[in-house]
Amino acid sequence: MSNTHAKVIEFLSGVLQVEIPSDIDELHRREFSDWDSINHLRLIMELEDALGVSLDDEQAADLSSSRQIEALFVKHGVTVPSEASS
Amino acid sequence: MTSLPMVWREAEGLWPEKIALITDRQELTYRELAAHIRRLSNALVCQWNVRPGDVVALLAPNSAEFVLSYFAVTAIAGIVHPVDERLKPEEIRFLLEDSGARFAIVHQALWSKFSTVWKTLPAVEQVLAIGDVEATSNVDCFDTWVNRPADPGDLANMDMTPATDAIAEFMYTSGTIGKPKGAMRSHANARAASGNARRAFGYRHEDVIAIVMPLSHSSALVSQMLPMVEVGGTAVLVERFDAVDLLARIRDQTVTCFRAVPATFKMLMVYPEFDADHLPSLRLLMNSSAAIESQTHLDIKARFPEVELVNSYGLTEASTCTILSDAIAREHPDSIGVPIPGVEMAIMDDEECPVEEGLTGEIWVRGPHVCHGYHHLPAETDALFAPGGWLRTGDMGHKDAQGLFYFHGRKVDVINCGGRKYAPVEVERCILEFKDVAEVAVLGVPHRVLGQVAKAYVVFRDRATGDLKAVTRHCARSLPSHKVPFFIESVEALPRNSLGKMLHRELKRESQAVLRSH
Repeated sequence: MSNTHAKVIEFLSGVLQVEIPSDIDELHRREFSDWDSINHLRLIMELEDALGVSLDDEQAADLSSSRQIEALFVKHGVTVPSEASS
Repeated sequence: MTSLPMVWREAEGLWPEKIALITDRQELTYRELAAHIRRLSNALVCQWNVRPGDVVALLAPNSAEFVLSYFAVTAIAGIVHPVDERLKPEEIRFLLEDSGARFAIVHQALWSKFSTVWKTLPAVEQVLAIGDVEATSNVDCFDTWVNRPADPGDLANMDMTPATDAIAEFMYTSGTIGKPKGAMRSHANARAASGNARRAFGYRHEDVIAIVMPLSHSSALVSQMLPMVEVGGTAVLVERFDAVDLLARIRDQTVTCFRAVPATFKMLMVYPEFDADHLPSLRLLMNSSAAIESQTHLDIKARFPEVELVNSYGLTEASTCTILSDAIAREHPDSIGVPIPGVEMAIMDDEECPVEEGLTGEIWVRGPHVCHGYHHLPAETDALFAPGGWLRTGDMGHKDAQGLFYFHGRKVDVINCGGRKYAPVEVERCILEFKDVAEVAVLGVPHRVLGQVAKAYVVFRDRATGDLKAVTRHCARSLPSHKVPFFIESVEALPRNSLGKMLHRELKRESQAVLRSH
């Protein structure tokens, strides 16, 4: 598991304020009741804020898993080198 | 129920030598009070030809002249329009234009404000000046009118009795959420509100009340001054609030009770002399206009263990509706209490049906103290009243199983997030649990998908170390998703009016400006 993935989990946990096991491989919106439609909008807002980007509606609606968010992190240069977390 | 002139006439007959009013400059017995009112009424009719239904604006700080003017105008079936002395000239201009006042009684302390706008108010024909003002045409002198001997026949004819349902007052709403509206209160409304205050607060003939709140405010007028005259008590009129001066007056005048807003109580608590040892005459403290914090309540009670500290809910359109006694406040500090006998209250849903205990709805009020509607605003007046004479207060709240009522906020402030409605106070309470937060205000702001979302304005105890993200995380842990603020901002202070009421319109204006700029 990459450190960027761990950062995504930490980000999701912070926005949704729920405990998410750090070793979880992938978190999907449909499996997670706290990730409801309103929290999703808040998550998008926080994500835009954190990355300094503006997501269009389609991108925002499609974003439904931790892996997709991780890809977005990487795309916008938010990566955490392995040594940074040790 | 009789009209307002009977209040001072009965007091004159029953207690002619009792001190009615105490100010910085003078004391007036009930006999003197009545004599002055008669002379002033007489001059209003004979000098100005004031007729029943004419509006007389009253711009004066707490003073004997305010009380005399109020009773003189209402004694001749005129309509008195008290104007908050702290308003800006442009706000005063708006109110005078709106009320259609043809006459104005203006204290020297407000002369510069008034004279700035008088030239833009052609309807105001005559002005009666209290104190020294620049002599101009159409300005008469209050002292001359009150001290001039009048023809005894004229004075005898002045003892008219206006109809109880005649409008006596235009009391303007404070406009915390929109433009002020003139609530029309009849003689019977004012006396019923005064009766509510007597029943709720238990005013006594021996009481000496310090009136700190402005007499232009509904609470000071009909829940303090008027009931005090009804019971033949004494009113100490405090022109300007100064904590040290007020403490001295309470001590020297053996004041037994006063009513104030939470901010005033907080300011007094700074002084160790604000306690039962230094002020043994005090028996009753009344909170007004905004909820008092539990801790402040406890702190006051620690200083005054034997003094009753009560709270009450009311609005300009229906003054003094509930009473929260000291004993109940200890168990339910966030309640606004129970309806005063003679007042009916209900919690209604959007379909205008009563809601179950514990559920939130709009507070409705019914009783003889409820106003007649808004001056020249028929649509707003229609919207104000529900069938059966119920007043839609526009306030949200609930009632518990014990019959205690709770105030949640203004209905227009309710946040509708994707169809799920809630009162901002629910979020505010949650945020206040966060120890770093001193004050908070929450309001709904537009959201293109959800319609509205919550925005919180937070005042941190220490702004430098305040962590907004931590506040949001706290909300996300404690509240369902639709109540978690989408936006949160740290501010130095929250905008409040002089009575301590939150100025939501200021926050809304600010938030809309921010949203427009994005």
